[in-house]
Amino acid sequence: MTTQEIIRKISGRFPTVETTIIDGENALNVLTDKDAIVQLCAFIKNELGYDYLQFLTCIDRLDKLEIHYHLYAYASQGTIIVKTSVERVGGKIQSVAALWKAADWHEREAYDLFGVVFEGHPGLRRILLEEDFVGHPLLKDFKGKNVVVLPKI
Amino acid sequence: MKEDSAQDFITEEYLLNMGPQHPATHGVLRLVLRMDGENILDLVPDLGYLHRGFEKIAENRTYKQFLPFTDRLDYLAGMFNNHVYCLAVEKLLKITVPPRAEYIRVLVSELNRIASHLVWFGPFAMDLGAITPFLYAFREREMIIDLLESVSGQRLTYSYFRIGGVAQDLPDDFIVQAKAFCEYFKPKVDEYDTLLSKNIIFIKRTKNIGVLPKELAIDYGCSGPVLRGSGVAYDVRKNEPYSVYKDLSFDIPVGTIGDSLDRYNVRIEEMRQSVRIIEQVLEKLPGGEIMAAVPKVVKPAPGEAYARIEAPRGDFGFFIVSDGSDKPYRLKIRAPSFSNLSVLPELVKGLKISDVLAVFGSIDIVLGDVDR
Repeated sequence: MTTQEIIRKISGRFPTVETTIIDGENALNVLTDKDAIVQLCAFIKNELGYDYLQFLTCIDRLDKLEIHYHLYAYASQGTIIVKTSVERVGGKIQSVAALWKAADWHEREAYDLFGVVFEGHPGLRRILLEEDFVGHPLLKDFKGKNVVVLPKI
Repeated sequence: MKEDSAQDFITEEYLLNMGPQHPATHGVLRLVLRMDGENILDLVPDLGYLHRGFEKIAENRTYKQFLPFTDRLDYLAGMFNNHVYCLAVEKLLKITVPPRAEYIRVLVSELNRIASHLVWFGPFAMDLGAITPFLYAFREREMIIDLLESVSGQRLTYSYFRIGGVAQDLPDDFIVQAKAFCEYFKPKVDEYDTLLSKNIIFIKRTKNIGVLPKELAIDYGCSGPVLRGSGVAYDVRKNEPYSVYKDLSFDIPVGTIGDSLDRYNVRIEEMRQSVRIIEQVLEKLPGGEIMAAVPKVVKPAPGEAYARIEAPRGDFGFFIVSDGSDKPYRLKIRAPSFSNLSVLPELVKGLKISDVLAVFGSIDIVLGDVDR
């Protein structure tokens, strides 16, 4: 399956989704609305064969929280990066843990560090930080009592 | 006194706490086991004891300042951490690294891979009750550490790579010594086979223990020897070659059923393959520069880059988002141990408590890598 075919298949099924090719790599950016995330991911996994979730993570864009899903297909050795965004505070999105078991821990990590709630996750709780930790440290406006800003040099 | 019969005993499930301080977890990891007698019903890993917030720290450091932090991720494979971080930043900057630097990078990385596998091999054997291989493994590891110290000045946290190349050229006698080491080391791997791989007790402890089917390994995002042990012939060095790996010939060892013994055999064979790579690099090592022209202040254009390499524990990646300033806007570390550890509860269900060590050891995680 060539990259063009994959683009055609995705846009045939999901007309509102934007796809762009990443130069020089066998990789695609797929930009979607957050409500379609589970259907789109299920399509990419089951129909296009992207069986390996490398990781998922968030980026704090100050006005919204961007979520990236890095997907890889062992058969075609291609990458698809699904991008979507949720509200910065109290953002909610459907969990993809039922599609890739790897998503379980990565979603917990994203919840822990960014505060995104993954609905339908089998056990959403903090993973790296302690249970009674207050706040989500990778948000740009996080202020912890132990965080000391370094002086400018 | 009333006579008890077996039926009068009331048995109930109990929780067993393993760690956070436990000699076999090789770091600070807590495993909570739900037990029925000696049988494991469920296991829940509790991580984060070594979380240092590197992804947050990176947002407040310049690109060059962050390099020494990467050494502390997978602290047994510092060269790989340096490598993947430099690759990601070089991708953002669109810099090409000079060939000599690329070869040196591969050379020290593969030496580091052997050292890292030796630190897995020795303690893994020790966890299963074989004390002697540990001493043998650390004897050879010491020689590699000496070699890497002569290159970088450090024995564990090397910080030897630079964005655009390496810090300094190899010392004069390095090639001779590295060749001597290869000659010395090759029969030693066979010695490990004699010591442990064919040992009947060892085989009984690991064969058919913790079987990880191919589909499950992929589903959990496992990579490296854990994935290859399950029979998936995937290696980033081979399938998505970076640096100069496409000019080097080496084999990808794979297992068949994905039990602890398969994962063990894959790593032992990987050490032999690493020696092969090192010998080729020593032959091919070109002359020339060791650093590309890199600006004093690294300020990549806005954009994002993801670089991945094959670290001793698997698919290791750095995802960096740049906003055009001298600091990363967002830096995500894709740690192989994190995903590899997540499969552990599946593997130990129904096994005995002593098997946890065999399975856990065969996954080979480093807590600095899991917790970041």
